[in-house]
Amino acid sequence: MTSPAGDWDDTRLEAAFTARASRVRTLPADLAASVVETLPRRTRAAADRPRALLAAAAAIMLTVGLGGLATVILTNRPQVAATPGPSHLPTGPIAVTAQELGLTPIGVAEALATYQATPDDREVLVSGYLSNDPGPITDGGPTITCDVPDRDSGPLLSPQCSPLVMAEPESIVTRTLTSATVHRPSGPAFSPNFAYAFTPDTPEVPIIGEAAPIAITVVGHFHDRRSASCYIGEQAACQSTFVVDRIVEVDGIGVHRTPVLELGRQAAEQALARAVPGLLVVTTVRTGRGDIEDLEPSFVDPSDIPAPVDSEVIWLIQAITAPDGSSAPRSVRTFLVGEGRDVVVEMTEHGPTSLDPKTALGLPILSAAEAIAVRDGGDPGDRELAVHGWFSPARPLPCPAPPRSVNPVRLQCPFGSQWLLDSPEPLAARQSAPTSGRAGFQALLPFLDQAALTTAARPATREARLVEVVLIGHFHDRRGHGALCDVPDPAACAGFVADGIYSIDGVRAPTSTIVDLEPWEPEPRHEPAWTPADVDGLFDVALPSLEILSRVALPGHRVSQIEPALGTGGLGVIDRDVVWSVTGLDVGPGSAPIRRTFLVVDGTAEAYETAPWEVSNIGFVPFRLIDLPLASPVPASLSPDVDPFARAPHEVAGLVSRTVAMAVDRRVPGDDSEILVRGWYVAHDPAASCPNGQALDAPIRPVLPVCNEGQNWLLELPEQLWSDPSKIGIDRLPTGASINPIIPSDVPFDVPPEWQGGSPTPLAVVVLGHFTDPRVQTYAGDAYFVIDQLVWTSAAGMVTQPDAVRLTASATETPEAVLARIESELGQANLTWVSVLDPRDLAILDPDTIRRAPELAETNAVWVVRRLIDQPYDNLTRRLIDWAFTVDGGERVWGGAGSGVDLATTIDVDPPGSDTRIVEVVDYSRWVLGVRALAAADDLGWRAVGPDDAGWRLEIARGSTPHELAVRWHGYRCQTDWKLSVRRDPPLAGPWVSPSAQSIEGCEEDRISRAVVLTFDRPIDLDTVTTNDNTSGG
Amino acid sequence: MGERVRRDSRIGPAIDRSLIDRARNGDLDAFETIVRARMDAVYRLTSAILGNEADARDAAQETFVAAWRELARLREPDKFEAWLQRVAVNAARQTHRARSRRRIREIPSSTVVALADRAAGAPRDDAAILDAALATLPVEQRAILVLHHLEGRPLAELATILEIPEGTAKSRLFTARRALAAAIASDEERER
Repeated sequence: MTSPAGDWDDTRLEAAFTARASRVRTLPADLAASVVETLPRRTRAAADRPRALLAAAAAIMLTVGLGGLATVILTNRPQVAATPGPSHLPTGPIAVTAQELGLTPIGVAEALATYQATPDDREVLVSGYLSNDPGPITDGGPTITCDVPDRDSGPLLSPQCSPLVMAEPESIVTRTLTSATVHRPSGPAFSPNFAYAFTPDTPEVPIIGEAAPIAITVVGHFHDRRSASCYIGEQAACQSTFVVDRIVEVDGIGVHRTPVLELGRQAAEQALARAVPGLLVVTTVRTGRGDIEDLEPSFVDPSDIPAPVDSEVIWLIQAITAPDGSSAPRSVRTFLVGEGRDVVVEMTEHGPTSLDPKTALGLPILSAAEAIAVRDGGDPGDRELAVHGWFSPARPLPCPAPPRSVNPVRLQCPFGSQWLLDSPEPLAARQSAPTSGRAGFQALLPFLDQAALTTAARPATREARLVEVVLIGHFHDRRGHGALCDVPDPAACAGFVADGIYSIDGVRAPTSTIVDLEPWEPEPRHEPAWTPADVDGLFDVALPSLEILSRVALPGHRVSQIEPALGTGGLGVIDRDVVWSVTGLDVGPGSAPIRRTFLVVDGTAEAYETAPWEVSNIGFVPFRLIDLPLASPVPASLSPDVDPFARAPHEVAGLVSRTVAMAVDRRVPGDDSEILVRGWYVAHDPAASCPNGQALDAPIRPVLPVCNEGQNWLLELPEQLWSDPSKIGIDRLPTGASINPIIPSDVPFDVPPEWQGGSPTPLAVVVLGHFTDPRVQTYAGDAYFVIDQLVWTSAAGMVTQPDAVRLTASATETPEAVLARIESELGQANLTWVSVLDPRDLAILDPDTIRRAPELAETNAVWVVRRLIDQPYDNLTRRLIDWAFTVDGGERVWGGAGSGVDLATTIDVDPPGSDTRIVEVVDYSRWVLGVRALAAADDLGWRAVGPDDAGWRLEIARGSTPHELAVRWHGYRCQTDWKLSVRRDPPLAGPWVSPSAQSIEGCEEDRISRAVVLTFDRPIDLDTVTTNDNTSGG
Repeated sequence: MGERVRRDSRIGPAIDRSLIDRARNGDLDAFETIVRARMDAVYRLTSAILGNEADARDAAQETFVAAWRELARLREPDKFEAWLQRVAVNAARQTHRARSRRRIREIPSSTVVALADRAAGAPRDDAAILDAALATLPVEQRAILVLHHLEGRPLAELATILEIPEGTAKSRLFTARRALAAAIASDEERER
């Protein structure tokens, strides 16, 4: 065994265990006797046949229900008089349930009388005795005979006799050594179905015994509407099955429903409450689309499930109306809600009926056609609308580079191809409008987080589809005024401007947050003092009736991107570091919801609200200063007294720390900017393992997401996700923002053990990391956050970084020497992390790099350097990770990011002539010893290689020795910087040579020749030289 | 990590199958015989896990109460011994959890002696070091260490007792040993 610590080997450890055990005092002499005295004699087997058996019985009943809710009503016995109802409500759980549901407890006989007198599925509360059980069916076990009327056994019907709810506590089982017989009870009885009663919040109670019946009180109903699914000959029996919706009491033990975390359940019940207010939920059962047929027999095929609720998890809710003081029967109603959906479907005798929400935040939900009618109805106002339709996102059209500042409501490329349609059929052509008979309009979603929309549009099948949405927005946007939109065609600013995404595929969408603080050069970058939650908190106080639709944080000098009228300096916010734009619906009482938009200067009490336009000497100023009652310009969360991160660094390498929520906002596909994040870290349960065999704690692991149980967490709030210490996986989802970070093997991440007693204690940390890591090569790999450095922990303070993480002992160079080599090729970085490892481990950590740079595998040790560099991107400057690799003791450097590493070490030459600045020879072949310039006009007996109709034409000739190869190509004059790639061409065993240059628009009129001479380490046969067949000069 | 040789005589003579069957059918006399035969082993196990005599006594008692309650559900009587150990581990876990909520902890006499020794500057032996380190571990990790290193249970039996796949048992044991190593190292660091 690996020594636990120092010289603690197996022998020492076991000796210590034995010595420790020997110190325990001898067994207390009375212990065995006292234990035996405490044992209850099992005169009734209440304790030894617990709920599991009834669950099995329930399952049997359930399977019966598939073929028909077959049942047993012992009507061939004389009915005894109905059990008189109690004169007062009993105390205990029956009373609670009766009070809660407004039901009067009755006996079995009275329940049967009700069944026979009233052919409806009214909910009743019944007390009786659950019959004893003949025992388990086992191979070689006793033969069981049922003396109760048998049913038409379908193929799924078990031979086990059903339990009965009886009026009297009589044993109906006679047992011998070899057989058991279930007799008819002498009193009234009915057959229950427990399929809907066993919810996770039903505590485990002993319920079926072999020896004697058990007193039971249940809530349920006869005449279940599902009886219509039974075989015709069995429908009467199905009608008489008592469908138990809730178990209230068993053997005198109250079955109190205890709160049990069921993810999604509360949301489903809330969706029902919104759709049908005033109902009392009797039972809520979680099922799956593949199993729902067990509970709703009409769904023989999952494709029968109504689309609004069709999800992997479906909640089935049985509910009744609240008592209104009358004696009118209250029938049970069944509703289905898809996990995370907002639409409720009611199961009626006529089939499923969708209870679509008719309003969104108080606005009536319109169809696309109705919205168009509003737009064209002579109302030029920009009143807020909620519109339901199918969103056809912008197509990937080639667009010219956008100008630095654009009007957010301009229908520019590619958004001109984006539509909200009244039906889910996609548009026929790239930029076509809806064909006749279909309503639709172009919808813009400026500065709205569209991540959920994008995800929904690209399901796992990767087949793009239209997404069903409800958008809240308006036509006739004030920013579309000709003076601001600044385009000749007014229609280019006449789209539907969405202020918020209300729902996606029937699921309520999260409130949009965009935090985009990248400055325009040369402006410095500033970080907000507030989090989105802080902003929400301000409005909670200032304007509690505001339902926020979107929050946007921008640098002040970019405010014109969202409010073009302020681009000239109106209000002066252009000079502020960070400005929040908050748009919401004021849903206060007394009027229809109205849209309100605010600008709040970050960290201050300076706030503005949109106002009727005013014309001032600086133009249109659509805002006015308002007095938001901001309690303090510095929210409490930033106070050192209460902020656990008060001692944490707020800036590292020029990056200011963000909350997890703000980091999540930066999760934009393709954006690999480095982010400094502060949050609460929780490692996976140390006992967790992945079903697929992924090693969670292996010394070298691929940079890939792991199974759910093995995920680490970075939380916005110090939440406990493992409230049940006995569970390996989490049993609740975080309420705040969260990230499941990936910690690569070469990133030191030493935190104190935070797990104790099966539950972890979140640790306050600050980390550096990024999304869109090129090593996470999985579908949606962009969404994973990869940690580059553990910067700070509340336990240890600032975490010291090693000069290098050494994962192999074979390296001979120093980190300083390696960094010098890399920086000579790639320049200096803002921050570097150095590690060295065996190339076989690099193949695990970064397989793509090993494929691209096979020479890295031909050594004993590879140095990997992550470099934090600045890179211009989309008119902005972002700080991100660039990788560099070099073999130990080598000379060449590979580097790059995103699309993959490339050889960074080149052999450079300055050719003569003012039209060529540099030629870099990229020698992938490792055959080239040197390169020198050549006058292109020299007559060396050039011969053409490859096509000559491309942007360049390649010619070769022998140099002054057989080892020299002269290369000449013809490219445009303005292409001053060239790369000449040299590879090995395996078929011909000769060099493959190809020049390339950045294409420069507008210079394709004048071609000139350039030439160099390559010196190889071997003689070159001109017949073996090849080049690219189809590459142009671009 | 190779499979270990199971130590013998840890549990005692095998319990007659007919005795188990009789107990499963509700024969309290038969079960009493089982209690007397296995109390020592169960108490040793709960003591090793909990490190506290009072807790160990409660857990042992709860083990047999639970066993009596659940015995009829035992589907494989041939695995009674492993099953009983599982019940004991669960009882220890429950007891530990309940104790964790107490404000005042009972201090076992052995701990008092150890504390007195430490106060007097006496060098600690391995058992004391182990005791201190185990006390910092979750009870689940203590259990798997005790079953393996004290009871000599190989991985396959750990898997049976804990009702987990053998691979999981292996990884949990590995994790527990690593945690123990860290705890010992941390403890020794503090001592210095």
